[in-house]
Amino acid sequence: MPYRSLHDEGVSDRLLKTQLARALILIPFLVLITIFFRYQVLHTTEYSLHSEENRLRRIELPPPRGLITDRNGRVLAENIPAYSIELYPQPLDSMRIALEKLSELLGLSVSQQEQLVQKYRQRSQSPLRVVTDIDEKIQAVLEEHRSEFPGIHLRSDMKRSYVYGEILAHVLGYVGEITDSEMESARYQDYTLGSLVGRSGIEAQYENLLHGKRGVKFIEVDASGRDLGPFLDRQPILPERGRDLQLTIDIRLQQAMYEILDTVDIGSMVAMDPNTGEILALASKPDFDPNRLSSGISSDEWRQLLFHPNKPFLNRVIQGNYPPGSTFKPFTAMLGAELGYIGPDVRSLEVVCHGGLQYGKRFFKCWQAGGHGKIGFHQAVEQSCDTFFYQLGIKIGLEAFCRYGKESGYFEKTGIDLPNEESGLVPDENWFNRNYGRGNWGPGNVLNLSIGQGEISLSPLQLTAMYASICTNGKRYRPHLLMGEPERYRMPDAVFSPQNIAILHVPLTDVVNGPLGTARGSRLWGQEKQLAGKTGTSQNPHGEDHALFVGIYPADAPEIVISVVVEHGLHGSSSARLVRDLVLRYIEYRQTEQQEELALHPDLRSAGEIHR
Amino acid sequence: MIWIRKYDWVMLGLVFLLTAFGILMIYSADQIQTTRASGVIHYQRQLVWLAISLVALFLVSAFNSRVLEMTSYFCYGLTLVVLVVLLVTGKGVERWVMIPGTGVNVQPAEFAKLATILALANYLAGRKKRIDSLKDLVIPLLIVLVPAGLVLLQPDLGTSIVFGFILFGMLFWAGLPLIYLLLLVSPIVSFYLALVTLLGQMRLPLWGLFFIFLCILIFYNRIYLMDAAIFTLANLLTGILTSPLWNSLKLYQQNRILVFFQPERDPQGSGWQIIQSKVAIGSGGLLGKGYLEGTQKNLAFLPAQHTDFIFPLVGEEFGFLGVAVSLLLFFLLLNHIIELARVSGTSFASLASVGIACFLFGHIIINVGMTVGLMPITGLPLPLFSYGGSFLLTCYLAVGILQRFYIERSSV
Repeated sequence: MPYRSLHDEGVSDRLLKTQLARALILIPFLVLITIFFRYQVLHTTEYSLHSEENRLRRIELPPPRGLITDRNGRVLAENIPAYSIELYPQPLDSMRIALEKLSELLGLSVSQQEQLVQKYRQRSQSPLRVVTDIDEKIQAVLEEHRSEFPGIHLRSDMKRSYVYGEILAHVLGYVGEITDSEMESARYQDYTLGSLVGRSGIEAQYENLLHGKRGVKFIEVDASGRDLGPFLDRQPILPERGRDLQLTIDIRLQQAMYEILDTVDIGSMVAMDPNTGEILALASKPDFDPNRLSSGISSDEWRQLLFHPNKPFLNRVIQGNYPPGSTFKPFTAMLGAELGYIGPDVRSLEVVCHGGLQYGKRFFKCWQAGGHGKIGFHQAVEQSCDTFFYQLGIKIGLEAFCRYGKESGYFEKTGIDLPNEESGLVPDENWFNRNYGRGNWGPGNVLNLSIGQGEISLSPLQLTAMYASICTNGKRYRPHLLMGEPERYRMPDAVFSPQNIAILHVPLTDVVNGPLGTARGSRLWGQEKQLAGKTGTSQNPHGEDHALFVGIYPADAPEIVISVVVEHGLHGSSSARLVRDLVLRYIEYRQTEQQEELALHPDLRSAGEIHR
Repeated sequence: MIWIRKYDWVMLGLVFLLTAFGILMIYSADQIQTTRASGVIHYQRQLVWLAISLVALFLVSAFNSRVLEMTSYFCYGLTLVVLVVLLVTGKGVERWVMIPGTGVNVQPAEFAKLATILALANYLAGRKKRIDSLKDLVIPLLIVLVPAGLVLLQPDLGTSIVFGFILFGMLFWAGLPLIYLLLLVSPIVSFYLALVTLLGQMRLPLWGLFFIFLCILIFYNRIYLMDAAIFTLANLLTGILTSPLWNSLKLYQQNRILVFFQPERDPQGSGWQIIQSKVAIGSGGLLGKGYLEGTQKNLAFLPAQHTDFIFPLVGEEFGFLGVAVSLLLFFLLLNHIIELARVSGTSFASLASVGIACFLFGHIIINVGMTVGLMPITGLPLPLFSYGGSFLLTCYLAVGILQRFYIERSSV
């Protein structure tokens, strides 16, 4: 064997190197084993969790919103399927091509396409929503030519549908998709992306009842986020539909009211059952289309609505404040009776009207320039004599007038279940001092107040509630839209005692039916029962006066109180006709209802379930 | 055929066990749930390559080791030519060469490792004198650094590091004083410590401490003055130049290096592989999720699960137990080869055995270390496990050579 360099080291040297080499190999192996032990034995729980999360996607299922029906069970707001077009994740180039193809069908502009591409770039793991709520024609085309549009997905969602559109705009309100900032707030922590949230009206008021509980399902995904079907180890939680709400609205009456109010440009009407506080119909003009608003309108359209001079979003029934004019005279009358100036004998106060009253340096005019002559309480209401109420006001005095105004609660928010109700205004000493300055006002201010002009204002609903308490001789119910036990809505009785309220019944009937009544033109001819009410003109410093009328039907046993305000409608007698027309429709419905009830006897319950 | 009876059946048994385990894992890696599968049945191809490899093992063990020794420079030269041609023709990056007419792709870099081992063994065995100075190291360094540099240019960092393992292992075995081994790595350590100091991960001036330690070491070991000067200078330059070098790197290049230290920096990008690999391993637990049941694998969260990241699959499906068993088998194999090196009849056989052991060891440590984030992701296959024909063939050729050495071993 030739001489080799390694051999001169001797066997033992080589053995030493062998041992060293073994050790050098063993150490890294031991290090590796230790690391694996740490990962697989000591920390396996957290890695297992991570691996589970890896393949698990939580898909939140938004709950269907509760339905809204009228008092007879007719559906007012429901959920209908809406299809949106989505494109599954795919390489950017093929996404562009797919979008181009779709654009021909949908009419998307180049810049819209580019926006969508940008959106996809930011979230390339999830499907790209191209359009929402496509119409049936496009849907049909897509279904038929599905193979020509690779990666397309027709996603079905629920959208809110308002069966009666504008007719109930100010009652139901509308919904909108939850915004990003709302998603972050605690109030909406149970909401999912794309959830609908009530924006106004009943939808906003009862959001927490209508919304329901979201569900969740778990799907398994691969590394590129593709859906591989349900994740079997975790049970899905089905969403719970929101609560269905039954409203006090009678849709037939509402439709009639809407039709009648449609003859004026700006105004509002509300009908209420004085015995329960139930709102039977409520409309405000101008209005908006809740269906368009709920499916997302362009910002241009939105701005147009928002800044329109006639304020279509304003619910004038609860947010419009007007000096009530002569419709407020019953308050003065009740107060006068309460203080003993008008006794049970209505002749106890008589006034001679010469077309006005000189008070201090000022002459306060009666609307009847020629004067009413000698006039008592009854005729003063019937003919709306201002002079009589000036005199009564002087007797009452400013301080008592304002104090009772406050105590009566008629100027406070009624507490109706609609958002953003406004309170009315009744002044007091502080108010006068603040607004006019000390010494710049005097007891004479009571004259204007006593005929409902000047510094007081009420919303049509507050006025309606006041008349409702007149109908019931002082029993008061909170106006409401959600069906429920009337006792739940009972409020403290009126400050005036029943007999002092009752004195108004006959005079109010004669406003419409008496020979000289101011609303005689709106008398119900040929009807069994009578309409009662009071006209009013609300002085408007900014333009034509507003016309008011509050009607009560039937006069002897009131079932319904209807108030109307026609902005720039000049005089109350013109607006009384609107109420009369509505009452005629009301009578008609009551008759058909009774006939149906009889026909379906003995199952009386069915009367309310007539299908459209 | 007589030589088959003289085979080292213990070593072959270990090799076959590991290969069988590997093919089992490749089969599992093929079974994925997602639609992204390419449709290639890797395990069948690997079986074909295994058949070829077995024939190669048989054939190479038929030749006397003298033949290997004599042709080693020629083989070495040939692979160098191929690597240069690859680099020049610009195909280098792909690292693959198609053998004309067969449709089979091979990786010349794999065979280059084996050729380099044999050439270096030949050179070291032929030396009359013990290596104990930098001057003596010039030729061995050249033999290894030329192919290592060529693959680094391809670029293939992992293979280059393996060349480093081979060089150090064989020089150690040839009797190079330990101080020189240490000095040879010192510039690399310097670079690393300077970088760590630069990035401020530790408040200590680590590089400075290391440099002082190095100077003391050189002084006390009384090596040649010239060598001492060269090593000191090399370390000093590395330490000083690291900072401007780092700043000259582009941001993405810096990031790539940083992500190695902190994979969490980029969970969707470069860090993704390490994180998913760790999750696969960690979620396997003690006994694993069961064969074919790995969810990380099934849903394609594991990158390159047939090749570079096949070991996390072992961890996921067979748990710590599977990992421990395979690492034990690997260790036993390496240990067995070292034992063979000890009893080899010739210096050439002894050195070549150690070279092969280092080559396998490098692959195992880097690959497995990479899956737990201990080593950078370099794309180095795991011997006998990873899918890939050229590499399997290289391993079996090496085993064939070892069998020949075993047959010719001295009866000590």
